[in-house]
Amino acid sequence: MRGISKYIFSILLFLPASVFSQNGEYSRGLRIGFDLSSAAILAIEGEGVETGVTADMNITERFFAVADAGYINSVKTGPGYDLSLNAIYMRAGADYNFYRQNNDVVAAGVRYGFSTFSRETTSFMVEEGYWGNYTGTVPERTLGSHWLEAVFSLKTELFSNVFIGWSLRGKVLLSKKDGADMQEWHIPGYGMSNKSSTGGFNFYIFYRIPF
Amino acid sequence: MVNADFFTIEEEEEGEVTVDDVSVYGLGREDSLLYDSASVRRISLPLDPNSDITTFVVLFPENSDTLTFHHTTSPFFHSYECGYVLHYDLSGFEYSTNVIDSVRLEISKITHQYERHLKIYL
Repeated sequence: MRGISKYIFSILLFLPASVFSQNGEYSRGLRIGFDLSSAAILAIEGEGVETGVTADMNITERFFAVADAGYINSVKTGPGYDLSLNAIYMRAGADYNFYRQNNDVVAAGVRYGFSTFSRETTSFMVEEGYWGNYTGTVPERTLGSHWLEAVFSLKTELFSNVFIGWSLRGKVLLSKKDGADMQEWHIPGYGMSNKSSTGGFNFYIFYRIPF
Repeated sequence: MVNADFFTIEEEEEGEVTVDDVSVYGLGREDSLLYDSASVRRISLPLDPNSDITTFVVLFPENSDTLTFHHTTSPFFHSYECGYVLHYDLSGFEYSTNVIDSVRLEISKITHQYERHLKIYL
């Protein structure tokens, strides 16, 4: 991958090819990233706080150790209910880097992810037309789940130690602990709990600390 | 909603039957008829979610009967779009036998709005 790689990169990342003019150097470093896709989704749906961070470090010439963590705090309002959610999720795994020209990364890898979250329905109302409406609360419950991912990712340096990148994920749910009173919910970091497999796309901005 | 279908037993064979001119109301709600001189095979009876006992009066042309259910209410989060729905667990039931011959419980967990939960034999 030489001259043509700049153009492939640029097409994949929708950026001008001139951005990719570094060459040659490889070094060890810790890259810390911030998940911009959470913030984007949040802006659209507008409920609560969701953050995600990621870190990766090359442990050998080709292999990177990667870890992500995220935090969600939201209140979701729907027909007759308010649902509050507090969750953390974490993912850890390894990436194999195919691209070895510089500190850019084109990688495939696997992750193990898990999430624990507590949810509480502060109040809900079900309409009952004949006898009278039913109101109730559901006390706080903690649920958990874990899953595996296969990830394809791209990271490229924009300018001194600042990188941008994206990852495409295929996820398989390993297990989940159901609440007795619900059949589907959003598992932070994974997706909807009623899907045994799902996909995801994230984009990030990173800062790399060379060693 | 408890779904109750009417049956007759003729020579040891059950047959679904349509009952004409039947009216139903919940005890205490005589002002609001669930069925008014209707011709039906099935009556769907709403349980009172704020109580653990609900009684219905079924008026047949010749006489009337009561049907009483003992139940617990279980709210269930159906989906983000729909929110909560009410599921019920029937722990028992009683009935009078002026017109009704017998009643058989098919399903005690009331979760599905189209399932048959009860068979009323006339």
